[in-house]
Amino acid sequence: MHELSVAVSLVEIATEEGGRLGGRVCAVHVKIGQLAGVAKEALAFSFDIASQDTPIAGSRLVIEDTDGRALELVALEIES
Amino acid sequence: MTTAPRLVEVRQNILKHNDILARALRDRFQESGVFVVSLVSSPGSGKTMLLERLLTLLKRRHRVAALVGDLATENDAARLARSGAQVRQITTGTICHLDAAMVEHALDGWALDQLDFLFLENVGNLVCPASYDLGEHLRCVILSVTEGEDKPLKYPTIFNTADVAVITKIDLASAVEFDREAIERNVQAVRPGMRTLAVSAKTGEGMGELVALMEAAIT
Repeated sequence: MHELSVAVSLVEIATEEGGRLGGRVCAVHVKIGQLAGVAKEALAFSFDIASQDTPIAGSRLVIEDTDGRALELVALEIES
Repeated sequence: MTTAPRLVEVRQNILKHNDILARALRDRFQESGVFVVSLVSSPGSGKTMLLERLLTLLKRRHRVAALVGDLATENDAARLARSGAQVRQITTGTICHLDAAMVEHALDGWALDQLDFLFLENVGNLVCPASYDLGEHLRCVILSVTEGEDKPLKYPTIFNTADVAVITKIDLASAVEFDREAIERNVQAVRPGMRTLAVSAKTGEGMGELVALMEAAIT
């Protein structure tokens, strides 16, 4: 159960990238590998908590399954 | 007027901050000439006992130290200090794994160039530590004969990220009808080519082979 740690890292990186791009981040797209050892439901739950009171609070997390050990922030949806 | 959100590809490893820190640690270990070994296992596999013996044996010819991670208590550091090696405890609180930042922080003030071996004993957990690179050169996954031969199949990720599997408490093998061939088969199924060693920290069986494996890495 380290989804909260992963979610905190994800929020940090998404906030950094969002700041660089400008505008409000409304969705965060990630790819999670089957062997990453991360449970999707727990990550989604942790993401909502970890993103509270950050610039990306309220953004949607979109999780795509993939092979291997991937833990990747793939894309951001930005509202300008 | 509102416009539709734009989708921007960013492609970043979610744990990149840990990976960047781990890479810097690995460079630092390399420059200092210290060989770093991490130990991962479930709680109760005999990780601390094994490390205590290893430190004692390696200390005869080498300069050794250890960082040991636990959620709470400094008991393990106190146990390991009996070997005479330099030991520091990392107390993680509620966090179920070590990460590169914790290791970097715990190394503060240590002269790494005065060491030949540094051991990182992770929190007892076969899931979370798999995701966190600590900058180690060698990752040992440890399992005891009492845990069942299907452990590699149940926790493939940690076995897949490890370099060597050490089977502990081999002195209890016959009492628990441990099947050495089955474990070998299961390890090879998730991590083809991985070396396995069977040891008993209690009787010393196999410890020479493990010490030789470590020493071969620094020569």
